[in-house]
Amino acid sequence: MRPSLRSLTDKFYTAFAIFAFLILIIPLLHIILSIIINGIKRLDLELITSPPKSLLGSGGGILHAIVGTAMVVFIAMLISLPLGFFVGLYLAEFAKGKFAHFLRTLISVLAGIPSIIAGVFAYTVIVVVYGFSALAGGFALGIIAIPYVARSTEEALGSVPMEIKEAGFSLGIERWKVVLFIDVGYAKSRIIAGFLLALARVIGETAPLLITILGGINIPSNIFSPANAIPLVIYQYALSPFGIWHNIAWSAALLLMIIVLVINLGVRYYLKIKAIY
Amino acid sequence: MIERKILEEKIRNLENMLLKMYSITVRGVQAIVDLPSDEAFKIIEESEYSSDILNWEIFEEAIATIATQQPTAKDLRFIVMTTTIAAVHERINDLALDIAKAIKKIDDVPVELKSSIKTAVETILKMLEVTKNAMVAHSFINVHDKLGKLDDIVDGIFRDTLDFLEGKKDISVRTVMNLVMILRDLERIGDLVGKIGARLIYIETGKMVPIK
Amino acid sequence: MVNIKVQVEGLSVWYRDKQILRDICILIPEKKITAVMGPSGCGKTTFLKSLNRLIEIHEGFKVYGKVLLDGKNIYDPDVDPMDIRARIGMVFQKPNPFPHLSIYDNVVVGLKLRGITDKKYLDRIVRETLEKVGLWDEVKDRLRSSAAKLSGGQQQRLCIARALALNPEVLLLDEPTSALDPLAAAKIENLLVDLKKEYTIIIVTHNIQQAARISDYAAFLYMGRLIEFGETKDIFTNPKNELTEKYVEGKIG
Repeated sequence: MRPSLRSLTDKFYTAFAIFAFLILIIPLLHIILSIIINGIKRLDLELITSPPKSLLGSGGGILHAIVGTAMVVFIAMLISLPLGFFVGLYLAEFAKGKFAHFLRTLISVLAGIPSIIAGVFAYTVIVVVYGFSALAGGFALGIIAIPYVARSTEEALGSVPMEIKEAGFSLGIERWKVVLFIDVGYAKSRIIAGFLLALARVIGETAPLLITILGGINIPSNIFSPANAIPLVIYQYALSPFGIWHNIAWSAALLLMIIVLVINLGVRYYLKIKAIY
Repeated sequence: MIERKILEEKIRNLENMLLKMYSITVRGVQAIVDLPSDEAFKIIEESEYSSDILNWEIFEEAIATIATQQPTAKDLRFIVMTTTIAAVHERINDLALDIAKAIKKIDDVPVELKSSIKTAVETILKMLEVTKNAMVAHSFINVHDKLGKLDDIVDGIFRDTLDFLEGKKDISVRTVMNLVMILRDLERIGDLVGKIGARLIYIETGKMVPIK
Repeated sequence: MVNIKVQVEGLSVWYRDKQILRDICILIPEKKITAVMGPSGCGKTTFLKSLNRLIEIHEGFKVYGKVLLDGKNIYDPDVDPMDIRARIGMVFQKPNPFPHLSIYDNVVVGLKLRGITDKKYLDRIVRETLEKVGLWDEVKDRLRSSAAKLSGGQQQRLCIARALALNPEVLLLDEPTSALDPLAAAKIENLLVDLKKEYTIIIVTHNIQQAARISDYAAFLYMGRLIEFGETKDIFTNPKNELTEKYVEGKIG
């Protein structure tokens, strides 16, 4: 049978789509493969259990940065989860009319600002007064995470079917109880997934940390002391002239990539096992 | 198995109405023997009246049951046949009243015929009982044969009566005509009870088996 | 003589500038099953949701007229809609148990959120209501497992149990069997016939046969108007209105 014009057009577009996909995937694969190839060498136990050693010796790890990141992200979540959650809850269940529209626009703007601005804000509010600290970094990342948490919470609550809400109201339950115990309960797994994705989003942030946590080589003793963080270590070591540090930076990048990947896959798996309804 | 509570309740209700109809008929037919007493005449009149009303009530109930419960198969056969059985009962009570009226017109029923009428009525009552027992017990073994045999007796009485009256010259034509009508009606009642039996068998088996 | 449980007087409902229900007047007898029939879009569901003020959770609806529960207008300003919804339970078209809650909690969630925490009392209510809806034997060994794992028919019976746990006086059902297979539907129908001994039941259905089978009284709604209301056997054997006749004959709708 002679190929018709339609099947030719079809083939052309298929080929074009594959081509576009390749253009997209090649740089991505390049980045991933470079990180794996260069990072695997130093991805060892020492990397995650030791603080950095002096410049002269080989070895040493980034324990200080791992602890720092944990601290900073924990503070960020402590700030963004309740705030973002209640903003999202408000938007999904109560907000109406102009004010809701205004709030949504505000959230979009907040999500769109460059992360360094959040850093600058944290700098003027906290660093100037109390000095460089994990708290300042956490504050900056918290501000960045709020719109993500708010949006994912709003979306999760928006996915609650009307029948479920009606069922709640039909039991003579007040509105706030329906929202808090029925709607949030129903959307629980999606809300948690949103939290985790927001966490994954801010864990790799570098710019705001540059001007808030200072980034030394010490393991921070409390949230008011200066700290370092994995992305910051990558930045600092990559810019250094030392090969040993370059290797550590690659490995730190691989570690960060693995963390983000684990969170993302974990969320997917979590939603899948929760998606029995 | 899922029970259909409302339908089953309605069917029980129809069964009870039919049993009530049965007792009305038995009472009316039984009274034929005591004619021409006024009391017996009154009983027959009452039976005719109440069977007519009950007949309509059964119709209404059956129609409502069919309309609301969508019965099928045996349930449907039962409900539809209930209406025709009720109609047959009503007809039997009509005939009983005809008989009562005819007996009233006759001054003196010959003794021989009095005992013929009595035998016919007793046979008919036996037939009615066969139908009732079959309905209550849902058992139809021998119903066909029993009813057939009993009906033959009633038919025989009618033929014997014709023969008997042919030989009688001392009875007025009017009386003869009334006597023939009475026994003819009893013979018809026997046939009708046979029809009730045939309908009961149809409910149970879905097959039409005429009883004659 | 039957008691009147719910008396609807001149009920009109508007959705924005469209009138959904027009001047409905109806007397719902106590402890009977009243079926509300009518073609899709005739206002059946709106009517039902007006009876427990559930309509008020949706935006854009305006309700006029009175709905008297035991003689008291549920739309009076001194009446708390939460109390009304507890007294008038509701079951929906699609089985909607709370999938994030256990079977046990689905039954008592209404009580718990109304502040009742006495475990013994809750245990008793769970058992009683699940027995009432014929689910106890099927689920007694897995009360703590998710309600989402039950079959459609079981879920719907659980939803009925959930409504009954609040000990309502009236039970509203919005096409409760339309999402179920015939066997599960038949079980629900039998259940409703049992429940009418204790509750006044109002069921909305577009299944004419179902209305005929289980109801004692039937109402026919058409384009927002109540066309006819009466004993079910009369509606189905000798309707007064020509539209009703056409509808029960299956010629419109």
